[in-house]
Amino acid sequence: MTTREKIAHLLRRFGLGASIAELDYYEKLGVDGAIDRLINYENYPDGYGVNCYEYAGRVDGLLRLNPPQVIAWWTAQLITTQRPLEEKLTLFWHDHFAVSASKVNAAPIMLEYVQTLRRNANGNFLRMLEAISKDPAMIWWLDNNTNVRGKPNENFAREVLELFTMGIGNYTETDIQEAARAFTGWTFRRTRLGRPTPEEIEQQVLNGEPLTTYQFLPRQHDEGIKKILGNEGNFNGNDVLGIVAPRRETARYITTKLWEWFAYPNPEPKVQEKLIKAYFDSGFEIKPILKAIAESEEFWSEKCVRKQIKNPVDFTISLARQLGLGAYLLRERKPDARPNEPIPRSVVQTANGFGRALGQQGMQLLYPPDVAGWDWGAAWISSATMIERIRVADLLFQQRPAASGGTAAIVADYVLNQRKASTSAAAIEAMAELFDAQVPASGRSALTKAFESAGGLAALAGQRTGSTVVRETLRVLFAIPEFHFC
Amino acid sequence: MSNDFSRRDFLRGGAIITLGLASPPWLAKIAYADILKLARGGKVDPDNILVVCQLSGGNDGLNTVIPYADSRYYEFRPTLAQKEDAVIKLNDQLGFHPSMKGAEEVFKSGQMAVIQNVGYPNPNRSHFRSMDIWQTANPDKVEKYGWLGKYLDQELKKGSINPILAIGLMRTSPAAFSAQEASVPCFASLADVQQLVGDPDAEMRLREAQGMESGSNASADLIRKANLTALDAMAQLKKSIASYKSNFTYDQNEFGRGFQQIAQIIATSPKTRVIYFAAGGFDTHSRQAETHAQLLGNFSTAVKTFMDEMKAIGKEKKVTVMVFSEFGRRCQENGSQGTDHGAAAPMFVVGGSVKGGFIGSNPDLVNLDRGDLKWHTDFRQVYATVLDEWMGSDSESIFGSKFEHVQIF
Repeated sequence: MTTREKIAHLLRRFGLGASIAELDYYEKLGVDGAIDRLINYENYPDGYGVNCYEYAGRVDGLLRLNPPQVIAWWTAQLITTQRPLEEKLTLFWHDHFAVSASKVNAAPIMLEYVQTLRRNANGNFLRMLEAISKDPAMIWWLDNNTNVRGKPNENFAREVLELFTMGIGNYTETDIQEAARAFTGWTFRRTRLGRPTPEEIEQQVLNGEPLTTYQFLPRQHDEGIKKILGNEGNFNGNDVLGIVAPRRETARYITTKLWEWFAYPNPEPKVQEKLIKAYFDSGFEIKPILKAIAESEEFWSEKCVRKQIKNPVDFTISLARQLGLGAYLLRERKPDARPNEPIPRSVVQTANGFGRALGQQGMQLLYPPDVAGWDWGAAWISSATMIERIRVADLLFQQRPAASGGTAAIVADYVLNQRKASTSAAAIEAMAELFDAQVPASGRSALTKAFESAGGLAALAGQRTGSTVVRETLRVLFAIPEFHFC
Repeated sequence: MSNDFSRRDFLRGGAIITLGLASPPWLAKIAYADILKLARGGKVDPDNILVVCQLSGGNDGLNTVIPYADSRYYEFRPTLAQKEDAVIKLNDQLGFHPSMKGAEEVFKSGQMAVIQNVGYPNPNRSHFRSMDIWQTANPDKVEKYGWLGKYLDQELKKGSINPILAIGLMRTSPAAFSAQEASVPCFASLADVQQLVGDPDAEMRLREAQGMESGSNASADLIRKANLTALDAMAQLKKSIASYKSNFTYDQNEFGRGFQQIAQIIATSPKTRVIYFAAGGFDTHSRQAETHAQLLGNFSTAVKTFMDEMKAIGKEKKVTVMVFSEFGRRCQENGSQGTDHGAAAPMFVVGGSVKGGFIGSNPDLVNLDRGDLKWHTDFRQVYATVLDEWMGSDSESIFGSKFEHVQIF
């Protein structure tokens, strides 16, 4: 592989797809430099920084945030961010620590949950566990607010062991019951006590202060002796997390899942050992695991490169980024907007369109299907989701060119001006490059027919006809099975 | 009709038999559902069609089927109550909202069952959760697969199914269709089908793009298969759509367009047995009167036109439309001339084989659950009835337990 090919592979897995602009930027850093830039993203601006409440509406004059607005905000963040790995990891943790707004139907609490995941995304796994266990959305979702002394609710404790750390089969039902007792009295409340006025709440939002917070109720906490995984003592929730995080089962479970998210299913024992070592040597830090993944030869092998089925974010958001829609979203918004100032409709519409497209393809942000998160890989594919994927061409290149942020003009500019394509074959070649596509011969023939029957090179130059020819061609591109691998 | 009556009598007899009063040994071994099938002449017609119509947002049941003779209705609804003389009276207690003239005609023709106070235990007042509960038919826990998805998986186990056995007329595949194996094509509109494959060349290009089965890349083959299923579904639909010219005019609104397309599918796609359709806008928290009247009017006009068309094409007795919403609304109207999320509400079941009339007792406006109507009929009883008696399926294996049927057929 050339350096550029390696960077592309890296961006498909550790980023949100390979766009020309990102390829150019990261290629200059070299492969090691690119890995470092991607993983240590907190040293760089995310390039967006829009407060979610700019998407909020007003009901009777009061600021009101609903889940679709949080989805729109997050979608715009995915499209614009200059820290793609931060989003890819946040999404991983959203899947791992799955909470759904179908139950936690309070957008501010869901927003704060997403921010908890984002803050800890490349940090320390034990810190992440502690933060998410105290997150109001998680407490609500797994009913820990009803987990009290004398009447323990096992829901949260069970998922901590089964889904969040050790994995099923590595603990007993007694461990769950005892762990549940340790988490009694962990609940949440409004950050401001008393009854804050709407004005006070709005001020909180402007200050970026969370509206809800963790609360410990000592009188509802069980102070008795608990026996968990061979340990005995008057444990609280943090003690339980401190017991499970250093378990080898946890190390294996977490590192394997990270490997599968970034590379391929069922890592070889050799790979597993390397990742487990990184987990323990660093005291449960996430970055060394990511680095070990990116630097293992298996990650660069034929078994890995372009062999993973794109999830809906990989598929959809990459396209938006390749078309430079992030720049469009940033242009449309006033740079000095305040959080209580509504964001322009054009931005909301674009973000909504992509946010909905993710849902139509089976990955509605904020709504994982159940506590276990989404099924990956082949589970993304069905005839209904494939129709939705093909129809993303319509979303990207609408009948009214302005409505899609002039995307067809971007394609036309790349094909005609930058690549100076003068034949259909050259135009197809340029488009494949723009969208980071490897096209087999059968696909190439179908693409050429679509391109030419919609007017070909001549039509591409026109504003209205340009949309049509690009849309028709990309429908075929999105129907090619090979295009759905990253 | 006489045939229907005798069947129903037998059906009641069947119910008694299962209570063990006069059960012959050979009957004891047969599941309840089988008895019902026997009661219906031994088998369910394999070409019965189910249309599920979802009213998204929580329809205000109390202002849809109005207990106009109950003075408490007027107390709960100081601005939103329909005046008694405006209500379309169906009996001495209940009537439709004044905008539901179309539904009135269907009801009076005996083709509409109104099942009152439908809900489920521990009603959830979140749209998303409650909709999930209705679509996965499980109020107790979050479930991956939908009730129709499970039905389709069972059909799949019996042998390969037609790509358009079930169709969603909506952009997003509903959770009700979510299945382990079966894959249901969903289209925002039939026009999209036309647009995607309407031009034979376009369809050919999409097929050509699939390339050859590689065998070496199982994942690519999986995608290829999914695409071809979609293309086959669209190709079948496209042909049928083109072959049909309707003589009926539907209004240009969500319901009109929806039922027009449902009619088009039924008229032309004999293999299709389940059609799922959703229309929104029922979340009327403020200034509800006008919006709600409009929605109910659009709905009932569309259903009336649809039933007329079904009659004209001889499908009247082959089609059952089941109408639901994720919840009803609070009895007491709120301070913004609207209503907040509630609990139990009426369901409609419409069709030429449906036994029309009211099922269940009238809304009880005294004994409320946190200000909302209490449920009397579990929605899974309605689903079970439809699955067993109309689709010839086995609801017990789908829901994991048995639900008492309601007398809608």
